Amino acid sequence: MTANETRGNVTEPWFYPPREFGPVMSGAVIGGLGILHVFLAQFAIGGGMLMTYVEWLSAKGRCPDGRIFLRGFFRILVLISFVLGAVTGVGMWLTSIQVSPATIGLMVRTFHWIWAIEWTSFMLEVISGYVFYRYGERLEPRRRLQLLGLYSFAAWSSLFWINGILSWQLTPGLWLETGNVWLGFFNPSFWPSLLFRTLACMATAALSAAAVINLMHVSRNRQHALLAVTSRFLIPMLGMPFLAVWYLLIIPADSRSWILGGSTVITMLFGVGAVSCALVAAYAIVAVIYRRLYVNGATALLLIALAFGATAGGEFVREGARKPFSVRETLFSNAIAPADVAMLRLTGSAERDPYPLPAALPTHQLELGARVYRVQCRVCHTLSGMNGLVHLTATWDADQQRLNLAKLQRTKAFMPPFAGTPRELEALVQWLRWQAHDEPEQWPEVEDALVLARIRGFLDEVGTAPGSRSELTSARLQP
Amino acid sequence: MNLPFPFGFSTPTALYLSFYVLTLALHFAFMGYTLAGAALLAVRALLGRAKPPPGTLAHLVQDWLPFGLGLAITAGVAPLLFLQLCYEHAFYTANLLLFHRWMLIVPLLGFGFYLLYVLKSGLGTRHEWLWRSAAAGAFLCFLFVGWSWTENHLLSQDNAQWVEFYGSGARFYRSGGILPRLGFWICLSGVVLASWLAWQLRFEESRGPTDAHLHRQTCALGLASTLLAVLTALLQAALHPELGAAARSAVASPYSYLAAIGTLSVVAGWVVQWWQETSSKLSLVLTSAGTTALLLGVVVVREALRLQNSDLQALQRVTKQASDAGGLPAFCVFLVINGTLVAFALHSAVEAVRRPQPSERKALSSAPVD
Repeated sequence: MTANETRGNVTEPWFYPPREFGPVMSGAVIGGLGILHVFLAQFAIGGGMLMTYVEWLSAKGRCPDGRIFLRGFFRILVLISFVLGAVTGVGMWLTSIQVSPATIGLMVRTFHWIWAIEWTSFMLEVISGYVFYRYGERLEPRRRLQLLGLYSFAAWSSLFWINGILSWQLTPGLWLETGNVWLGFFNPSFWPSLLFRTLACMATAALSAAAVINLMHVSRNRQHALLAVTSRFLIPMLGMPFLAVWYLLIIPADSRSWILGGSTVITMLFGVGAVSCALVAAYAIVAVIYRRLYVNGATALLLIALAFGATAGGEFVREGARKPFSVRETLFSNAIAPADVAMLRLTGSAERDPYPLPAALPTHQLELGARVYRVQCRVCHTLSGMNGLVHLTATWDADQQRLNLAKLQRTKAFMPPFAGTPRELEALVQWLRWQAHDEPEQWPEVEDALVLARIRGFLDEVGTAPGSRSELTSARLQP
Repeated sequence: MNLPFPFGFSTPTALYLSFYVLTLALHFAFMGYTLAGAALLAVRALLGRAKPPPGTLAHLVQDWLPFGLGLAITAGVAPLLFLQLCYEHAFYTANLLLFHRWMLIVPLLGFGFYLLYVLKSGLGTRHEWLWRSAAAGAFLCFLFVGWSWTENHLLSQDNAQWVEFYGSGARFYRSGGILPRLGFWICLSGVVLASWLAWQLRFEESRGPTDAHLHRQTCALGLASTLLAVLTALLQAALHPELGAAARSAVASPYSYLAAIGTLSVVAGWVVQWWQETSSKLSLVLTSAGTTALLLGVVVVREALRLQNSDLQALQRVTKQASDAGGLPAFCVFLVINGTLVAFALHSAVEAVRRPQPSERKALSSAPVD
């Protein structure tokens, strides 16, 4: 199957009921839940590895309080990760549907067997984990280690599978030409992403262990000895900068440019993630490992908060760096396929949308403008909340709005091209202006043939290709 | 379509639909335990009784409910995946139409999960009101989730109403089909719970004698649930003739018979257990095989009705595209590997159960009858 055939169904004229989250943009909703889920998953995956390590040391007689630690740590893991991890996992799927059904639909059609494999890992993770939690005390050391090994293998393999799908969104690689699921899965950013996430899991587990150790009713010396063992999982953080550089080098040039200064927000979030990560690593290596200082509960919680900040920064950067795509070269952020833009500029994007507007507007043109907003802008923007369109376009005059929206991919290279007719674009302009003027009861319809011709000219001039640097470069290279 | 499910469909469609119904039945095997188990505890709470003491069915259920819910959620991932694949447009549309109200199932599922831990904790022993509130709260959470899924399922098939529903700004889809359908699934949950309880009692027996009353209570639960499930199924068929037609169609009729045979097997199993006052091999085989057949039959009949209302051409096209994407052989390999590892983990649990520690032994035989 070719990539085009995979994408084929995306272009079907399915309209979904549009939904908005008030002043919060949809991306922030899925991002917020995603960060929580990723952090919990890191805790579960790294926790499994850490517990296996401690159990192994205990069996060798090199960690006398290992069993006490395991009891406390696993209880927290069950209460937090088994519950919230499972629930937010389902929540991620349902939220993805609310935000962009076309994107999650394409992902399911392409990677359903990978997800099904991941499901078998989930089953193994839950069952082996619960068996250990419930019966571990009754089992022989060898069997305990085997069960914990199974649990951590299952947890890490769920990361392995989902990592292939998530990294494919940014770097689909040879899948674009072949449609081969494995070429998409083992895509260019698969390995740096997997290794980086694995280290993040280990660090999260070590920091969580520091908090758990502080809750244990044993002497400070014994707590300190345990801390010395569990903090070894922080050492691999030293590899993170190298993996981050590898990742940055391998992602598309335009995505890299958003991260390294091209987009202020993404660069700032990258900075938040990198600095948080560096602070945790510095404290871990210098204070905990080198100087063997004790980590009290408050410090452990602060370090966990920093790690959460690093995760949040990293996940937002990963999402943001894909712009203007949700799946690179395949689907724009607004769920319109690049191959469909030219057609939609002739047939229109919103006129067939059957779902009514929440309220009647003064003119048909304004109603069309509101529909165009729903189809093309709503996924990443709100009207007047986060990333609000009215605010973003308020200082532009009408002609500037027409030009900037028609040449949207050049106005901001991380925006997708406008995918509608000149009539739809004019309707969007009028609707934005009407909004900016506080929705007056009377508003003139602009059906000026000259204006529409000018918009058509802008659209033809800019073309339908994305405006990001890599595409521009490749376009320039073409004879 | 004149052939039994899934033979009348193209190979990819048959494959995905088969995976869907099989994984849905598996999901329900755990979900039924959770829903009916929570209902059992909620009834106890409503009757004003305290936290169940060891040696009672309620205690056994309470002890295993968090694991049951964890498995139900995890097992639910697969049918949710195949549901999206086969009915993408309809399912996604229903999700979006119900919006915040639908999304409420996520936090409520989490809240209900934690309430199950409250039930098990010492807090419930110290504060009776807390135990009762948690029991009622957990059941209400799961009932809401069940209600929402039923609503979503029916709305996804009612495409003539989608635009009007969206325009009205409604958050609740009203349909006469919701209550009887939900009632049927709750009753079926009772059948599933009783089947699991029979196995749990069997394990308890392997560690020492158990009270005959526990077996009879399980039988009573199983028989009553089965009877009510049959009655609610008949009620549904009477209220919605299209359901009866779907059950009698060539696609689903073998599965209707399978469900009927399963029902008879379940009833026979409970009768045997009642007389023997123990979870014998015969009664376990009859109830477990019967419940499995009943579940499988019911999910296929349910699917046959949906398929009657679906765009089959779109379904065939989507599943053909999906099957061309590849990955099935790898799934089969990992299903076998991880399935074997799951069996190993369960074997470890059985080993541990058979080697109880004296301090942990619950004296089921001497405990008061609940």
